[in-house]
Amino acid sequence: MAYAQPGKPPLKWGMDSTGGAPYIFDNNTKGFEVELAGFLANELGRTSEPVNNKWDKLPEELKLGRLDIVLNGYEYSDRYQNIASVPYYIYTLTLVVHTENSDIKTWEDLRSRDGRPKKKVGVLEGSAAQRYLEKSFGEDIDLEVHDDVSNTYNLVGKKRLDATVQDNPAAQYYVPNDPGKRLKLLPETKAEGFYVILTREEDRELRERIDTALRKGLSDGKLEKIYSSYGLWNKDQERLGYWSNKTWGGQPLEQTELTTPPIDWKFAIKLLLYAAGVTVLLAICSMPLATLLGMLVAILRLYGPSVLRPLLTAYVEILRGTPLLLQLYFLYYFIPDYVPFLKDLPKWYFGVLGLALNYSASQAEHFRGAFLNLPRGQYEAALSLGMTRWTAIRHIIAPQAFRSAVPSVTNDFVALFKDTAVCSVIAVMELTKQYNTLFNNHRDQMLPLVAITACMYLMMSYPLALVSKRLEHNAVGGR
Amino acid sequence: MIRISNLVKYYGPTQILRGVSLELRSGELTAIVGPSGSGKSTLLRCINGLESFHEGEIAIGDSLKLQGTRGAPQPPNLLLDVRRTVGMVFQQFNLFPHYTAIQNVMAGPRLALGHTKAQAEKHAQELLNRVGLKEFYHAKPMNLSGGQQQRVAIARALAVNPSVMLFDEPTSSLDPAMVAEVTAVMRNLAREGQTMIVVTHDDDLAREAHIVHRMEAGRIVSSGSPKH
Repeated sequence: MAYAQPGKPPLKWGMDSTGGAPYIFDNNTKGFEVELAGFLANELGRTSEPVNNKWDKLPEELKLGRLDIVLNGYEYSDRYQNIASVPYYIYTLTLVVHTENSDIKTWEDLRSRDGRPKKKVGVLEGSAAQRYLEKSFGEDIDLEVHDDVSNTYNLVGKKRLDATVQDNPAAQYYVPNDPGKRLKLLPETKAEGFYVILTREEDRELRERIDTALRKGLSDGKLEKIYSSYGLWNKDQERLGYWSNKTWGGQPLEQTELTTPPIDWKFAIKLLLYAAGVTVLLAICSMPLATLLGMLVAILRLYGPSVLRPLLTAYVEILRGTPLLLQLYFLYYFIPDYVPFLKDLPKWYFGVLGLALNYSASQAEHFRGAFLNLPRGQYEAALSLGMTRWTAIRHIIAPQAFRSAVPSVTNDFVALFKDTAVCSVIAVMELTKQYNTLFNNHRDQMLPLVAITACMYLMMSYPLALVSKRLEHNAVGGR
Repeated sequence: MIRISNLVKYYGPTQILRGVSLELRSGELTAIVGPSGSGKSTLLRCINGLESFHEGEIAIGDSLKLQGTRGAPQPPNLLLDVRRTVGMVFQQFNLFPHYTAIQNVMAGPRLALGHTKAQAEKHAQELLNRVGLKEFYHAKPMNLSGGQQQRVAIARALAVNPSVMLFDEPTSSLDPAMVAEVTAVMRNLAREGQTMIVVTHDDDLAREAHIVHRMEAGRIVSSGSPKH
């Protein structure tokens, strides 16, 4: 038995703690991968140090040298041919639906049939499940790509998704532990594959030592012991011994379903253009809403009944003082539990609402500032002519305040436009999300994909900047 | 026309008006003079309800009566009636910058009295002619001189046909060269029998008055005919 040797650096293994049980949980102290990492580090005479990052970005972190290995449910595919260890687990894709769902009994039931709306199926971004569904079901389903496993299960539990496809360890652990017992696993599984550990291509020696350690753990029963304690050892794993003793790397595998074809640029650009359209839709719908709401809040805060004022102050401060991302999560995952009709609304509605609410707070502050900056004499002059309060505000004060608020209000438009990208967290397929999805399938094409996406953003935001400059000029010059 | 009795007003703990009593007769030009901070502008602003006051009473004509409210606001409907009876011209003109000269003059009749556009426009033209601004109907305030702006402001206040016109240091913000054009307009108004109260530092203007009240530290200290 080897022990951690002083002077040897810790084994930095990349993972995403949001993946949760049974992989990694309880603040990175439990999970079969935590124990596996501990076992490997021990075999290498090092200590184990988990390094947290976004799951789909782990290979990049590895390449940049911030990690030694990636060990977090990474499914083998041919793109990892030269950097993967021997398999440490054989997973299958499982289909999870609501217990009351009698529509979906087999995988084929996911396909849309004549005129019926498409089934909504959630997957984890960049997962083998995503690639499998894209390939095998394509346009027949409405694929929702999420960042977070437990949110995806939750949406199935709330019947806002028809199904989710997950690797069996996640599903086997999560489904029986679901608090409301709302979920069931279908018996039929698909697309068996291997979890592998990723290394840098040049770290040949490390890779070989990891392979040796895994073989040892398989033969002496260490791995079986770890997996069994999480209920994950099954008949499939008995074949691990066979696979781990094959000469791994560079050798074609039986499993062909998950290989990715080279990028089809015409199709990729079509997807990006469509997503750019969604981005424009989000911005165009939310901007006027934010402005109108902001105006209303500002006017009520200044001139409305005094009981409303603390509420509106709270409204502005809460929305300005919390991240848009959190607000979108709250709107999309929480609010529909209490407002049932929202459940069936398309996701982009939530994006529009979130952006509008978030920006209404800063718009309200711009308008309020403009109102407060007007000389008091304007209001007094209007009153002295015998106008009522509201007439004075409507005809004399508001038009001037709106005009002087134009520069800051239109500045927000460009900021809002860029913030549409945050809607990707609720799986709205806008431009940034689409970029990320393409990137996950074609990691070698990062540079051209980034360049095209950035150009599309610029082509939209630059005209917007010109329009706002124009508005600003008119407002200032037109006095 | 206006009877002010025992007016008391505080700003916080500071007493600004310490029991002011005055009587203003219809058709007269009344001047109120005195050092800065003596309370004369505050007195004027109490008369058209821009400020509330603590004690005392202001009776305007036969039917309107503002009472001391101990700092609370006056009833809104009463204020509307008072302001349609009492017009006000400010030191800083306070023209509406987003309106042209004629739109400024039409603002009261259109937005406070609900007159038709045609009616208000005709009246506004007459008023602007009267203050010598026939050429400037469609000028924006920012393109007018101070004297011209103040004359538009006088026309604007006159447009709601007030019984009384209040002038709060109407020439104090003007270049000396422009003072004359504004005082000429005011002199004409006085001659036509418009009831006017003018708060001023300008001795020439005060000399035109039928009666001059002198204020110091929140009290009227002397009243009488102007010294010629």
